[in-house]
Amino acid sequence: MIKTCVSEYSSFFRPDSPEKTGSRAFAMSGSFSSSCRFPSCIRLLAVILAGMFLLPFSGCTKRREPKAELSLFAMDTYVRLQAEGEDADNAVKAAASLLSELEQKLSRTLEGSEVSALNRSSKDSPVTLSEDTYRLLSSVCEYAEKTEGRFDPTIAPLMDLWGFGTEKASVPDEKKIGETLARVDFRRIHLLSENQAYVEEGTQVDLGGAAKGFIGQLLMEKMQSFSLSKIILDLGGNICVWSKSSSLSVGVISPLQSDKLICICDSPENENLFVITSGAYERYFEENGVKYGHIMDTRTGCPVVTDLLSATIIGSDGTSGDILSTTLFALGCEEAKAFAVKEKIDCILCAENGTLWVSSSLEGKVHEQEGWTIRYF
Amino acid sequence: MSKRGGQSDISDSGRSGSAREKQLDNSKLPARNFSFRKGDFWVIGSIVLLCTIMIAGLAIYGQATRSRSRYVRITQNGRILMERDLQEFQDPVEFRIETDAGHMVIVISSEKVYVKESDCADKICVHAGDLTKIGDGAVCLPNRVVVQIVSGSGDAGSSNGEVDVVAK
Repeated sequence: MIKTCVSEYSSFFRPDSPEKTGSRAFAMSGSFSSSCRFPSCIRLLAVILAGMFLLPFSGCTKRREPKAELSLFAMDTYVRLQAEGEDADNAVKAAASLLSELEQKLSRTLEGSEVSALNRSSKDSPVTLSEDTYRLLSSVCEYAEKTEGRFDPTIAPLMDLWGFGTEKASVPDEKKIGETLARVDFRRIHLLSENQAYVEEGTQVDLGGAAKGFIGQLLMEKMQSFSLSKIILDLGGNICVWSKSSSLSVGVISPLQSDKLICICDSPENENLFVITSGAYERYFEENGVKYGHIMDTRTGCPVVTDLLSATIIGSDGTSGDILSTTLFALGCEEAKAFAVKEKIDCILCAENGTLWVSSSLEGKVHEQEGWTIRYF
Repeated sequence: MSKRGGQSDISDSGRSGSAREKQLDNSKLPARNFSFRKGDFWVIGSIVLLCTIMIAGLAIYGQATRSRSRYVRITQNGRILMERDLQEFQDPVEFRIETDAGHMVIVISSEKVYVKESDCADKICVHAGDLTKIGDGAVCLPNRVVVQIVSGSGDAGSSNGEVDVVAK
């Protein structure tokens, strides 16, 4: 075997044009056979050496683009904005100011916000909302309708009753749950013409379940008006990425171990990709050994009982992604699969037995990590 | 010059014939192979040597990147409270922060960093567990504290070595 290779090699490098002065000169020097290959050896070595020297530079031929990163607390969460490209710095700053502007409008806890004004409104005194808020409110109501109320933007009073995110989180008594639940109904939000809206007495709107996705989308639009090549937005774990000419990889965290991933998704080139996960593994409290997650079942008024560990939406629309990840998680595996197929939602459902149910349309774009098995549906 | 050059032009057989004469006593191998071996041993040796150097270089480079220094960075309200090399913490140190919500205790050792105690309600920062790799982080919203492992150059990188960003 080796012999064959060697003889092929030797005949390949044998100078076959004796006219060449180099060959002639070496042919002269006596021991013809070995010395005539000498320049070939040098040539071969030169090629190898050149390749070796060029190798590390291949990465440097591409000009390093400026990067910018900004981290801040907003919308009750930790936000990281990253951009790469000529205008990275300006883009990130513009996005940060848009973020605080939107927060001022959409937060339920800020006195002066539009959502607070909406919650104080009544049939006789509707409020006029800004274009953004009205748009979000109407798409939230639309999805509440689609999910038959399994996602409900008026769930806030129930969350308050359970005390999520406060020191005194505890299981409330059933009677109180029933009373509160009566006020939880998205049909009590009334959208009027000319960006006007009001809510019925006792109903509280909280757009938190969709705001991160919605804001992510607006931030993306804003940043894309600058000259950039790459954008990564992390709004409290809701991811939105875009890259002009390469693919980015987005990991999905394991609901069981926060330092592990269940899978990695590749982003398409030059297209927005939202990866939004819902689960009860991060925000929960324990009472008498029972874990109570922060996602509520709108039918019972208690934290959802589901056979899913987490639900992840992969898509190009942030608002729906944010809403639907919560909904699919609450629906449980079988119902979620049926709903995703019906509504053509691309998702990854992480089941308790270590199976990842992935939409068949995502085949080839999602790579499982150790300990998890992908099955398409 | 022209004479010898002319000889080489004549034919292949002439050349191998003369080589064979030399080697006839020692071996029945075709002379071409024998003479080839002599010259190219040097080339093969060089290639092997170069490959060895290259592989060794890559291995050393890889080792260097893996063990690139990790810094712990703790920020509160966006203000950096501390940023220090983990190598300085051969003995674990408990770092206490007073916050609006109460206090936090962060344990730093050369191996890992973790939030031991926090007065926040949800304890998400405590649940975040051990932070070991560059890009790992624990965020406490009520305390507005972020604990991150960053590289020596201050780059927080991604939350996992192999991906650009992690959805939670």
